[in-house]
Amino acid sequence: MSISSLTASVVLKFLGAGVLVLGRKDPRMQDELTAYPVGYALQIRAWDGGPVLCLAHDADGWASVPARPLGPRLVEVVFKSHRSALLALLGRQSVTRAFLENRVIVRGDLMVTLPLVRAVNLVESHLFPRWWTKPIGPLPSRHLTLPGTWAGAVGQLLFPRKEGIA
Amino acid sequence: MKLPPYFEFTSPPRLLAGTGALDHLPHELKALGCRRPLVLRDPGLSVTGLPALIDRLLEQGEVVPGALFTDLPADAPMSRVMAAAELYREKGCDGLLAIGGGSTLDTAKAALLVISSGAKEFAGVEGFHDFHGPVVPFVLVPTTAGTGSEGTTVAVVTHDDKHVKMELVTPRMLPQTAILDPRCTTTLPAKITAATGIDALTHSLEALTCRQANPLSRVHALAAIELVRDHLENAILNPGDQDSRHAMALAAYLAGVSFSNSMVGAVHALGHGLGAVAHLAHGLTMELLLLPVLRHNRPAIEAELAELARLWSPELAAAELPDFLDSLEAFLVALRKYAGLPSTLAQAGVTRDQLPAVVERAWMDGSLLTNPVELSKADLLALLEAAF
Repeated sequence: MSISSLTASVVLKFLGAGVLVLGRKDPRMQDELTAYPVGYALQIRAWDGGPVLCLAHDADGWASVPARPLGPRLVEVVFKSHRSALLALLGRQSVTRAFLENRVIVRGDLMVTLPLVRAVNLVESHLFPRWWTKPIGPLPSRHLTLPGTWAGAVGQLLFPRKEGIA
Repeated sequence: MKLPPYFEFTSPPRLLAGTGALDHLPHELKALGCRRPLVLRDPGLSVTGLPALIDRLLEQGEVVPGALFTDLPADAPMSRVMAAAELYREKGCDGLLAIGGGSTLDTAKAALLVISSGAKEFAGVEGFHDFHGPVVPFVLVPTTAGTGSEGTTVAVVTHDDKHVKMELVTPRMLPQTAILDPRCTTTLPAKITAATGIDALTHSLEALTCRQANPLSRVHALAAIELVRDHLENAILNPGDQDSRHAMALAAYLAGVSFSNSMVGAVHALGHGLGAVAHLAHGLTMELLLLPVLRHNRPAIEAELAELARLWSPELAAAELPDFLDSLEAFLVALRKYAGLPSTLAQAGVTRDQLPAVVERAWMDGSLLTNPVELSKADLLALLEAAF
């Protein structure tokens, strides 16, 4: 595995954990996730053939699951290049910026992409210091502190939970 | 202007614009290697002389349509996209020619992807910048002057059963040639001329003031605004005036290229919501929402408003405190009067209990991301109330 694949893979795991942690703590994240009914899956792929994060909504709630093949009730965001992926995933450029600058491909229903973009933007604003990111608009306010979010994400990765998220 | 650190700009159509442009249609088709096109023609055109003119031109140019498809209702239903693609394959056509308004052109753009990809199901072409490979020869002839669909990388298709809109975005969907002939729009009624013209103006103003504006989108937007300023009123009052029709067709195209390369903002997010919930025509929603949203965005777009004041009129530019938005309001009030357009959402038939549903739709709309001011759901509702 290359350094960039390894980096993207690790960051995607933390992003996924961050979504689940904020899904329990932050009403804004809960609001974004309610856009996707049970049976929906959201996938962020670093690049074609690259590491992937898949979050699925089943009857018990949201959970990080293995990647799914394209199909109905799945939205997949894929970065067009390694550089674009790493800049966005490492929080240097917000995912909103990547989306608006056409640095990503979206597969599936475009009409439900926005909550996913906002959700990742929300997690990134919790995981990275403000000075680190060059956003395209104002960054969302934090509901959890930066260390609190990291601690929650590590906890989520070590002891996965999916209850509590609608 | 503030230069975005990165942007993309796509504008590949070869443009034929002006008097007699349509006469070159057969030549353009043949130059693309197309002698047997599938023709998608807006059914509303049957009451005009345009179909006969196009048939005659194609015959003179020895281009024989492989098939004619006119089952094209509003909102580009997915079933019509698939039916057009099926007809194309069945008749062995070698290119696609679409003549009509926004829905017809959107149907054609989506059918282009289905045909060119060989997809058997619509799901095979859905997505954002996810289409690869060559496309078949494709020529568009718009017969309204508003959406600028002939210059945009977007098509919106409606799911027949679920009644939800599905968006396709890819630069591959742009035509190789677009033909803007004033003869195509001289029969448009005043209301449609006004609403579609305001749509073009809104595209330009939102493209100019949105977060992803870039130097090229800006140039296109400013040119479109000047053309609307000078010609929309006359196109409404003197529908047969070829110069004004020509200018408005060009304005719509320029505005389409502009917003397609920068995005729009909250006027469109709310407008799409109103279209879905209250079934209001798109141009009408733009007319009703443009001013409330620009006024709300004002703190973030003062520099652009000052530039627009200089562009709009010498008197305004010379004023001590030039206010472009006041001048824009006067312009819109005059257009409403000439064309008999409503001035509030209530007059347009929207009920107050529909507004929360409009907000929920707008909240899912990608246009919100590029609005120069961050908006909450409460802000969106307040904007609708301001237009109510």
